[in-house]
Amino acid sequence: MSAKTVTGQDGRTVLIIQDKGAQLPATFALMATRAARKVCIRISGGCKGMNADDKKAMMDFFQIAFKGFEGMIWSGGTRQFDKDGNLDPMVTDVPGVVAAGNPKCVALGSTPRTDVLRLVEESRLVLDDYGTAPNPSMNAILLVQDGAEGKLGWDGDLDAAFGLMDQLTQYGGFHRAGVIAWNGGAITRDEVMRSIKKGWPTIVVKGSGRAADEIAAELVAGTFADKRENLYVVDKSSPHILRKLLIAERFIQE
Amino acid sequence: MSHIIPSLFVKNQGDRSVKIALRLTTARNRVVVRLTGGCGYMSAEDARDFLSLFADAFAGFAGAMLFGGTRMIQKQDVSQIVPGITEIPSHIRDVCPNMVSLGVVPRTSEIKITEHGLVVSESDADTYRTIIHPNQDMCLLVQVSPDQPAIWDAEFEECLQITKDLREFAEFKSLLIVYNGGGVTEREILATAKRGWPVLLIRRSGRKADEYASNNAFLEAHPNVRVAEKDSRDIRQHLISFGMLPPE
Repeated sequence: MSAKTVTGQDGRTVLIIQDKGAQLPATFALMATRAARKVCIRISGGCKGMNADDKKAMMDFFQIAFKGFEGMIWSGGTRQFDKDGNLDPMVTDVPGVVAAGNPKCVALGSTPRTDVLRLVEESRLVLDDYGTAPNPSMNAILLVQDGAEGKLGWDGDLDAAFGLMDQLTQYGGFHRAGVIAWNGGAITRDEVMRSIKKGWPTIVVKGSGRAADEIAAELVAGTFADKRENLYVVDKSSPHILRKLLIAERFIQE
Repeated sequence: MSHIIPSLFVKNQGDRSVKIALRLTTARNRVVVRLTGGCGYMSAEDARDFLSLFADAFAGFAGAMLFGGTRMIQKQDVSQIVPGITEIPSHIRDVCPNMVSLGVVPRTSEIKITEHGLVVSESDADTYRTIIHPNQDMCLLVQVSPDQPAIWDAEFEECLQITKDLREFAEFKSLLIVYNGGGVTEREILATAKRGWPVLLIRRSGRKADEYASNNAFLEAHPNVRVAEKDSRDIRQHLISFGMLPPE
C-alpha cells in the first residue's frame, strides 16, 4: 500500500475548522468514535533527511505494526508535494495507509492554519505557498486557526489534538490513548513530553532520525528529562516489536 | 429501580457539547431513539400500562435514548409521581444497563432549587410541579442565555441537532417514537419526517400520534414513517426492523 493510492475510506475527507481556544467541535470528536475499537494513537514526527526508500520503509514499518488495528489513528493533517507536483510521502500519510489496510479503523488529522487558505489550479485547496495540502487519505481533518485573519505556528493544533484524546478517554469510553514519534523536531519532542505527562504509552522509533533518535539516546544515557516508565523505544528495523508492544498495551487485539 | 446520579449540563441554544456527544457514543450499539409525545387526555389505565408496554418492547436495548428529562410530582404529596412519557426511559434503563439516556429540558423559567429536586416548571393552576428527572444518565438544560429562557420547542430542536450529529458524524441509526403529544410534538413529527429519518407512530396513544397514524396521505408521502399498534410485541418488531434492536 503506498500513500499515493490512498483516499479516505468513505470517499471524502471532512474538513472542520476550529478557532484556537474555542471548544473542540463535537462533530470532529464524533468522527473518532466511528472506530470499531475505542483506542486512539497519534503518529507524531516528520521525514526530514529521509530519501524515497526510507519513506517506503516507514510505510512498511507501520503497516506491519498496525495490522489488525481497529481504533483511531491520527497525525498532522497535511500532504506534501515535491517541486514537480508529485506526492512526497510523509508521516502524515501513515494514518491513511494504515486505515486503507484496516477498514475498521478511522484515520484523522489535525493541522494549524499557518497561512491564508488558497485555491490553486483546478480548485485545489492548499494551506501555504509551498503547496502543502489537506491530506485526502483521512476521514476528517481538524483545521485550527487563530481567528479569520491570524496565522498559527506549526504547533498551533497541539492543544486541540491532545484535548481531543483527553475528551475521548474521559467521556467517549476510549480506554487507551498514546503517541508514537518518528523522526521529528521540537514539536515532536513537545508531543512526546505531553503524552508522557498524561501517562499514556509513548513510543519513540529509534533510527527514524532527529528528535526520536535524540530521545532514545537520552534514555540510554540517563539524561532524558522525564523518568516516568511509560516511554518505550523500538528500533525502526523491528516493526514486529512495535506490534507486540501495541498488543501488550491493548491498542491492538490479537 | 437502579440508582443513577445524573450529570447536569447547561447550554445556550446554538452551542454544542462535545462531552454529551461523546457520552452518548458510549452506548454499546450505534443507535439513538428519541421518545417524544405526551400523556394528554390519557386514561388512568393507559397511564399505568404504557410503562410496561415500552419496557417489554425495549428489552435488550443498548443504544442512546433522548427524552424530555423531567418528572411531574404532586404538590400535596411529593412522593406521588404523575404518570408521563418521561417516566418511560428510566423504566427501560432499569432492564437495559448498556443504554445511555439523555434528558433534554428547555429552561422555560427560572430554575428553583428545592428539597424535592430542581423545579423547572410550576404553576398555581396545576396540582403538580415539574422537576428534573432523577433517573437518567445525563440531563441537558437548554436556554437562550442566562437571562433569557427558551421555549418548549427547544427540546425537540436540540434533539434534532444531536441526532443529526450522531447520524452524520458517528454513523448512528436513529428512530423517533411518537406517543400521544400535542402541537410541539406535531412540529417534531413534521421536521423529522421531512428529513427522511425513521419515525414510528404509536396508534391509539392519542392526539397527534393518532392523527398522523391515520393520515394516509402523510404516510404515503413519507415512507420513512411507520405505524405500530399499542402493543409491546408490535413495537418490538418495529424496533428490530428499524435496526434499533438486534434480530431475534
